[in-house]
Amino acid sequence: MKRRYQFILLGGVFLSLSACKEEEATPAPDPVIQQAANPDRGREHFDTCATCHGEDGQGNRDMGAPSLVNMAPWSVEAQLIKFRSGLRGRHEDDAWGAQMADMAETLEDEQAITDVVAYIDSLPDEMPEQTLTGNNATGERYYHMICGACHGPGGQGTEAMQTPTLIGVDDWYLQRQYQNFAAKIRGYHIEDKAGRQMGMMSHSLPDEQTLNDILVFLQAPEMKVVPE
Amino acid sequence: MKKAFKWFGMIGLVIVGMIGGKFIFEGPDASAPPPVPVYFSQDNSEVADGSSQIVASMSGAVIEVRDGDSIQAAVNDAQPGDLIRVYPGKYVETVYIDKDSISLQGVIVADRWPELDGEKRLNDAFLYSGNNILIENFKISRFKGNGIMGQAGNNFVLRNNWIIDAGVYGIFPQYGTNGLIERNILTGIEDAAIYVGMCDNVDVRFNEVYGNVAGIEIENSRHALVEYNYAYDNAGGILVFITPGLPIKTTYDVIIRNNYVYNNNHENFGAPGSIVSMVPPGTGIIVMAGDDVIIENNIIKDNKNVGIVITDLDFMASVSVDPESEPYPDRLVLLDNIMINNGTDPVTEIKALKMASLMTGNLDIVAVGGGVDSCIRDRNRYSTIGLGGYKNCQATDTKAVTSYMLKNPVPPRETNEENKSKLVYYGVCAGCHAYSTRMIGPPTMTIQALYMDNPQGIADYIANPVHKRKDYPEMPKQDYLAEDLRLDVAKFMLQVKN
Repeated sequence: MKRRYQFILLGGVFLSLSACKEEEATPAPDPVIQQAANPDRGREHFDTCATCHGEDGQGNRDMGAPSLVNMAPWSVEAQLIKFRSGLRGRHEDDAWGAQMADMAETLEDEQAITDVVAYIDSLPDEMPEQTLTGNNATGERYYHMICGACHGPGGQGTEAMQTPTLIGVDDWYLQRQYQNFAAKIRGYHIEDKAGRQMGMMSHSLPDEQTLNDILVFLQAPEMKVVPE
Repeated sequence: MKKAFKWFGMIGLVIVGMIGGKFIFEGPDASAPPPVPVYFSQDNSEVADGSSQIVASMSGAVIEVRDGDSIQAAVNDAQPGDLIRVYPGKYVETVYIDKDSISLQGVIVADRWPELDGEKRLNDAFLYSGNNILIENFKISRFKGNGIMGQAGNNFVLRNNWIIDAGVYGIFPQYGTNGLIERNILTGIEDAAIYVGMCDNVDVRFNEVYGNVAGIEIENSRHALVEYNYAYDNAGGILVFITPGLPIKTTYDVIIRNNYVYNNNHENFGAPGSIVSMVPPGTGIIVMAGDDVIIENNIIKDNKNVGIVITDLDFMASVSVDPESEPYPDRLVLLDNIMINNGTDPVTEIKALKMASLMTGNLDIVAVGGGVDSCIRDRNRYSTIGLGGYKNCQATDTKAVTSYMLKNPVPPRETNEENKSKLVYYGVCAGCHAYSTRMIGPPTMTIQALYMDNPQGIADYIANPVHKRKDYPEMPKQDYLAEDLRLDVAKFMLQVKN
C-alpha cells in the first residue's frame, strides 16, 4: 500500500505542477475537494494519536491502544471514518472504543484522515510482541477453515471485502475485538456492514482457546508478512 | 481332400475379402450396430442389481454426434429414453443434462475416443441433474471443476470413462440414490478422483485411480460398496469420511473390499486449508468418523504413512463444530486384509504415536480418537496402534452383499415450490460449500455473514461469479439455474443452520 501512496504523492506533485502551469487561468481550488495525502500534515495530527498509540505508532497495551504500523492504510482509514462518524466506539460497554471515537472526532475533515493515515503508513514496521499461548497447528486449521475465506490465506486482509489485515496486529487487541464483536459491542450499527459481517462470524469458534490458537498462528514467524 | 481344402480356402478368402473390404471402404464403425449398454455383472446371484434396469430403460431413438457437432445440442434434442452416441473427436463444451433417462455413450474407434476438452477454461464436462443417466466411454481432460458431476440425480451409471486433470473432482455424484461407478480411469484430480457425496446405494468398482490427492472418497453417504478398485500413487487411497457441516450428517454401511491400495505416497496438492489438504500423504485407507465400515480382503501395500487410519473428526480436521455430526467412528469391522510394508515413513503425528507406543518398524493400522464396538479379525497379523479396545470379530466375510444398488430404480426426488431451493442447495451448492468447514468454496456461514440480508447479491454472484480468493478454486457459473430459482436458493442458503 505504500506504493499506492507514492503514486498518490506523485500524482499530487503532477497535479500541483499542472495547477502551476494553468495558475492564471484556473481559479483557486475548491476547499471541499480533497487533496493528495500529505504525511507531513498528518504528522501534526498524529500528535493526538501518539498519546495512546505511542510516538512510533507501535501501540501501548496499558492504554488499550494497538500498534498501528502494520495495519493496511485503507483499514486504518476505514476505522477512523467509522469511529469519527459514530459507527464504532459508541456502544455503552466499549470504554476503549469511546476514547478512540473521541480522538477521531478531533480530526476536522476527511483530508485530515487521509493525511494522518499517510503518516502512519510512513512509520517503520515493527512486529508486536506475542502475548498469548496456543497451538499453532490447530490455529492454522481453524484459520483456514473459518477466517481465511475473508481475511485471505496469509491473514493480509482484503480491501475489496473490507477485511483488515490480521498480521502484525497485537494479539491481545484482536482477541478483545473478536470478543467485542461477539458481544455486539462492535458491529452494532446498521451501517457498519463489515462490522456486522464480523459480528456474525464471531460465534463460529468453539471456545476461547481456539481463538488464541488462531492468534498464535497469525503471530508465527512465517506469517509476518507486511501488507503491500 | 486337397480339392476340398482349396474350396474351403477360396471361400474363406472371399469372406475375409468381403469383411476386409467393408472395413476398409466404409470404416470400422459405419455398419456397427449401436451397442446395447448392458451391465456386466461379476456374479450370477439374483441379489439386487438395479443397474441393468437403469440402462434397460434407454430404449428410445439413437442420436449420433460426430466431430464438429455439439453434444449439448443433441441433449437438447433428445427425449427421455434416447441414446446419444458420440463419435471420436474433440468436443470443447460443458454438457448439461437436465432431463431424465438420457444415455450418453462414447463410441471408441481404433483407440480414438470422443474427448471432452475443457482447455483449462471450462469448469465441468458433464453436469447432470436428470434421473436414469448413463455416461460411458468418454475421455475428459483439462477441466477446472469436475469431470462428471451429478446434482441430485438418481439411478446413474458412470463407467468406462477416462478422466485426466479434470479439476477438483473427477466423478462426483452429489445427493443421488442408486448408482454405479465402474471401470473408470482417473488421474490428476485436485481433490477426490471419485467422490461419492451425500449419496445412498452406490457401487464403486473396477476403477483405477492414481496421481490424485484422494483416490476414492465416500463422504456423508450410506450403503456404499467399494470393490475391485486399483488405488495407487494418490496422497490417500480410499477415504470414508463424515465432513461436518453438510446437510446429510452421516456415513455408514460401507464395504471396502478386494481393492489394491498400493503406494499412495503422492504429495498432497489439495488447496491449502481445504479439508482434503489435511489427508496425510502415504495413507492407504482413512476412515474418519464413518460408522459400520467393513474393510475386507484388500491388498494394502507400500503406503509410507500407514495402511489404514481410523480417526475421529478431532484428529484429522479439528473442525467438529457441527453439533449434528457425530464425530466418532463406531462399529468398524476389520476383516482379513493383506498388509505389507506400510508405515515406513509416517507423518509427524503418527511418528509421535509410534514413539509413545515404543514402536519401531512398519505400521499397518492406527486408530485414534473415540468410537465404540469395533472389531478386528486375526489382529496378530498386523502392526497396530490404538486397537486395544477392538474386539475379535465374529464375522468372517461379506459374501452376503453382492451389491448395494437397489433392485429397482428409485423415483426422482420430489420437487415442489417448497423444496426445490433445498434440492438445489443439497444437490449443487453443498457439493462445494459445507456450513462450517472449508471444502472447495468458502463455508456457508461465511457466505451468510457476507450477504446477511442480501440474497439478491448471492443470486447475482452465482450467475456471474468473480474470482475473489486466490487460494480458492474459481466458482463456476450457475447461470443454467433459472433466475427465480437462483434467488430462492440464495434465500435458502442464508437461513441454513449447520
